[in-house]
Amino acid sequence: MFGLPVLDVAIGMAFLYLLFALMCTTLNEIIASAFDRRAKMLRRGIRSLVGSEQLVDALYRHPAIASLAPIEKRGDPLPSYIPASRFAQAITDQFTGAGPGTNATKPEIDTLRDEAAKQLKTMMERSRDPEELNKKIEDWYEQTMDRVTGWYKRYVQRQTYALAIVLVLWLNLDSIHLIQRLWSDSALRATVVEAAKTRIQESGGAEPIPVVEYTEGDKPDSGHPVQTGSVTLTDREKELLTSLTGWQSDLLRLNAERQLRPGEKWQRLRWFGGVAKVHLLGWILTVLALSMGAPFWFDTLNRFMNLRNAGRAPDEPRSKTA
Amino acid sequence: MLKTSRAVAVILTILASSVWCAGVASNLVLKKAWAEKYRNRLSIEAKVTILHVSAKEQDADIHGGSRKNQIGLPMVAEILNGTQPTQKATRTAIGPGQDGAEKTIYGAWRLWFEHPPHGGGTQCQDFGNQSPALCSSQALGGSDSNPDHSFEIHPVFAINQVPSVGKSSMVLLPDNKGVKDSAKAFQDYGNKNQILTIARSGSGITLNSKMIGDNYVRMRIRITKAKSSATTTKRDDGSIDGGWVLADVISDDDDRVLAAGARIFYFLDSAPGDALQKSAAGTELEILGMPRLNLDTILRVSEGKDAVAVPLPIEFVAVALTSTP
Repeated sequence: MFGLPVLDVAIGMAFLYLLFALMCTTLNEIIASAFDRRAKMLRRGIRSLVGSEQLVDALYRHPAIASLAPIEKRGDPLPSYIPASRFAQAITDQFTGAGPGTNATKPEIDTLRDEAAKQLKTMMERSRDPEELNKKIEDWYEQTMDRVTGWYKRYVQRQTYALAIVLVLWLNLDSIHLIQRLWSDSALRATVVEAAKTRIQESGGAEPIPVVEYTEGDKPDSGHPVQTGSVTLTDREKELLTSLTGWQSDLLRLNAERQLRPGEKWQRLRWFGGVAKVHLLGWILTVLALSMGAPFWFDTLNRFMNLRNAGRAPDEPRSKTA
Repeated sequence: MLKTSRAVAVILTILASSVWCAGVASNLVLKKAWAEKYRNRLSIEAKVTILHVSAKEQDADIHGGSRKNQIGLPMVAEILNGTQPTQKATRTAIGPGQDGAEKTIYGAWRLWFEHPPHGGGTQCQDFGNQSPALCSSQALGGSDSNPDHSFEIHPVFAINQVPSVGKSSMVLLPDNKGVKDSAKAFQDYGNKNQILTIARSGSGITLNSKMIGDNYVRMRIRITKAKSSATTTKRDDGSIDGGWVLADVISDDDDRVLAAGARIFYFLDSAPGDALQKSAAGTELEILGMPRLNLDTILRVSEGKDAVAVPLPIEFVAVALTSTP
């Protein structure tokens, strides 16, 4: 059986990975939102479904879809998601000429990508009424959306790796160094475990939890949500991360080198080579750990905490379950 | 005493061995005004477009899935014991039909992270189809009879005025394979890291939790506070449709209190309703309970806070009486 210090260091590491992963998630969200990644991927998915850029433009101009674009964004905003029913409405209006704003550029089915045209024609022929046709188009659309979700997940995973590398180098997140510090400094270990406990008990959360306000706030059955922020790191957690990360000690070494051997060529490069040699394995481990994502580390932290609570002193209070 | 390098190796091994299956939490965003309206109600009545109806489920219920409705969430309406001959009229009424028209569905509301979006994500209560990007999980996942959802009308009491449950159908059937006993259920609620994190704003509430199982829990309860005029529940038209009592849930074998003072809701026109209305404090009953999140507790514990994490606040709707004293 492992001793308590080992378990506490494991708790500390799981907690630190959780906080770093939360930072990655938040950055991921900011980038995805700034570059409209979801919306662009959705448009790409619809383009691959119908195979005609002209038709995609027409569909996006249809009021059923245009009204889904976020009103607060400038330029030519795209909706981040389109319910299947709205897609079906827009596409049937396009080909029947019904509905508002569809008569300007009414495309023919034959202008579609062969496969899409064939599928749409089959659906039209086999449907007994417009409702059945709509239902079939919705199913067709939903299948493509599963693929779009897959694309987006893969994109997020790739971006998470990239962000993890940036974060690791920026903050010098060396897992081995962090473990050594937690192992050798019992006061620091206790502080980190306490902070981990607080996150589990009070602030919780495996990913940034959105804080949302509603339009028409007083009415129970109208209005729409608008995200105003998210719950990520507490001030105490930020302080803790600042004290555990950074380049301070490595830069001290560089300054000392400069004073001992002033004017030496390639000093900075040699210094970085030495630093990389010391930290490389720790950096790689951190990048791999961060790629597991915040939910994984939150779950792991919970398990370690449960293990620790199972072995607590008899007079230590047990957390209650309602 | 382990040397530092050995300790590092051991800790890395522990962390690496943590790669076992982890449940992923998801978010559910609710409008506070809506939650305030339903915090002490048994039921909800809403116009719902049913997209597809399932075949018989493991628990003998029938599901009707919806992605468009007055509640503003992807949801499922569930007919209790829907495969029974007594439920034929309701089965017909819930079907999406040819016209895809909305149906007015009346039943017990249920917030429960039973089928949240796979792999995490956020679903938002949205009454205007203007959801921000963060709510994208609500339109994409799951089949039409069972879309990814954390909201249900379950059990359904009536569809377009066609009554569904009643004394004949609110019973525990032998072919209901989805029943859990209370000791196991409460062990799961308490020990599976089932934490509910609540983030509040002026008009919104975000709930964050992992998936939770269980539709039905067979449980022995001891009434601690009988029904009163303050614990009756009303529909939108002001008519009383049920109420609640407070009860301790106790274990079958050793009388341990598994949950103290849980709210047990009942529907008037049902066998558990009859029994719970008549029960004085101290009475013991065995019921089939359907767990749901307690909106009243959620609003109370998060009042005045930006974010708070609590053990799952649970209450039950009594859907059958399994034995009387």
